[in-house]
Amino acid sequence: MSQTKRYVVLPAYGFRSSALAQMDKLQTVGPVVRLEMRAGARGRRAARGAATAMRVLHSTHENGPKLVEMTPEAELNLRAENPGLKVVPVVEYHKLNMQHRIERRAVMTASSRAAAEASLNIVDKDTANPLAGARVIAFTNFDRRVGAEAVSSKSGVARLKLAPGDKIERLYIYGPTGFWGHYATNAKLKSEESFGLKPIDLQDQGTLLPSFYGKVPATAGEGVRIAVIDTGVAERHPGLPNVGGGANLVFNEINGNIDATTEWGPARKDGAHGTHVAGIIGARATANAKVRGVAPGVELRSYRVFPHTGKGAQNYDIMNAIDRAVLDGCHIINLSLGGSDEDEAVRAAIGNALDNGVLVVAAAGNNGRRAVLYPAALPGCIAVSAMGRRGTYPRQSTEESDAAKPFGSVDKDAFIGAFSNVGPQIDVAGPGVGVVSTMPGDAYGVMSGTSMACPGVVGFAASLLASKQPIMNAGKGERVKLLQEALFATCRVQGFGRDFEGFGLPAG
Amino acid sequence: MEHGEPMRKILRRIDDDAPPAREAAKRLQAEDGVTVLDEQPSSLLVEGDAEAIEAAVESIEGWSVYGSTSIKVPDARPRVLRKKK
Repeated sequence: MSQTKRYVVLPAYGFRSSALAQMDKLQTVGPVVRLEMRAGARGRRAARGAATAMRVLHSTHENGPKLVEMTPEAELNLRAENPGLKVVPVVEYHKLNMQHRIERRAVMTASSRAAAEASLNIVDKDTANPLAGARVIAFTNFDRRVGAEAVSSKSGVARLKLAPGDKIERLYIYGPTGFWGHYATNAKLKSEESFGLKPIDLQDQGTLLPSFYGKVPATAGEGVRIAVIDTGVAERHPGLPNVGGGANLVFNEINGNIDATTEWGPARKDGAHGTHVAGIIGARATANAKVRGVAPGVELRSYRVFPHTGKGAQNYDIMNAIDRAVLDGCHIINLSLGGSDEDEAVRAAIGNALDNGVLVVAAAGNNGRRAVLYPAALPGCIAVSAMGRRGTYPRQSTEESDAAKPFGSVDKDAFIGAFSNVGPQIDVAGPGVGVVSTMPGDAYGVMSGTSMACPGVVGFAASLLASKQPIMNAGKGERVKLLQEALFATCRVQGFGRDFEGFGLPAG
Repeated sequence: MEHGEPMRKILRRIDDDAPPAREAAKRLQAEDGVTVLDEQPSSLLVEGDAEAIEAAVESIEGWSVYGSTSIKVPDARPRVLRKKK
């Protein structure tokens, strides 16, 4: 039995809730109360016969927030029973200590610069043709993130400002679109060396997404409209004929240029992210590629909030994108983005979306086991961590570096990606390590991140919504609660632990 | 009154019975040193002295003011923070 912790139980939105008042068992201060599990709930940790035991320590009002004490398992149980409530761990705030980071480029003389250089030839493993655009990152000290990086030229050469003979603790080569990467540890750098990258096999059904969701029918998600609030989605990708339109919400681009509002395609710089996300939700197989999303039947809409400059997305634009998605009748919003600070503007827009029956799913963030980012950490958002599985990517590809503890108790090859943030806000885990999906330019590529796990969960939620007309037809105030409940009920616990996976992997 | 550096602020209509965006924008435009940059059904983007904006919003029932922030495109790849000498 886990140790008890203190939590604050409050409404998902606002400060008062009739749900809290109706929970008469929570009103009495002091005694331990037991909430029995609903019959028929499948796949939940709590469904293994447990009941929710908690002690109410303090209540600010009959229908107001309550301070309770219970085990982490009981907390999960309580949330399963009451999706309209938010259960937040009690936290302590501390003074912030400043940490310095050195990001300055070292000054080198002309002679030392010429000497300290290694050339890596990046080629197609099958054809030996040179590959341009591969990003090479070599760490001589990974913990301190000391090293060098370069991008391969048209001739496939990446020149690292490191001396031949240097010991490389970790070498990452991220392939260009269409190729897997390469990962090596404790290698000695040679003055010139070749690395072959494996092309992605677009017929392969052994990669991560089909290994989890390959059996979902091609019509899954029909009648469901999904908002992808991101870097924009490719307008005419053969695998994305179901992109129904969208809008550019980047204020600095549309201010004084009304024509720019139709530019919801990929941002010119660093714009591939949104197309990859969209494909995970709803890409359709083509004659040339069996790559498909979790719910190919959905209609996708693109709301671009990242600018063409490659810079960050403004909260004003994200807020307007959420509002626009609600007005456009989207049923689910995908937010594969996040920041470390809570943002009241985005929070208000998400609250409005939830009030209008729109489910909001957000990525937990990629800071390596740190706290869940906002908006994923906001009450009402479904927060998604990223899981992977050994054997679904080539053995020496970069995904291998993301295979870290905890490994699954059911599937020993399954793990939560080393980059994934974790914490008590995590609701579910999604497939997020080595995911093959659509890319701009009619292409396909591999990406990893909680950004990829989030749309997997969105796709699965869309397939659930499409198959459950009572939820689709429910009133706006009820739909999110019912859909969340249905989603959590499909989850399969993988054995990573509560803060790593929440209810587990939505898998039906 | 001396104004600080102009800042961008977000205004959001949070109550159903709050004045519509058009009216809120008009009232803000009337304030010295406040410029309304964008107007949406439930929100406004304004620029000007932060204190002046906040004071003006206080007089408009049902509207809230928030700071403007940004977030980067997510990336799970490790980054070099310090170049090897």
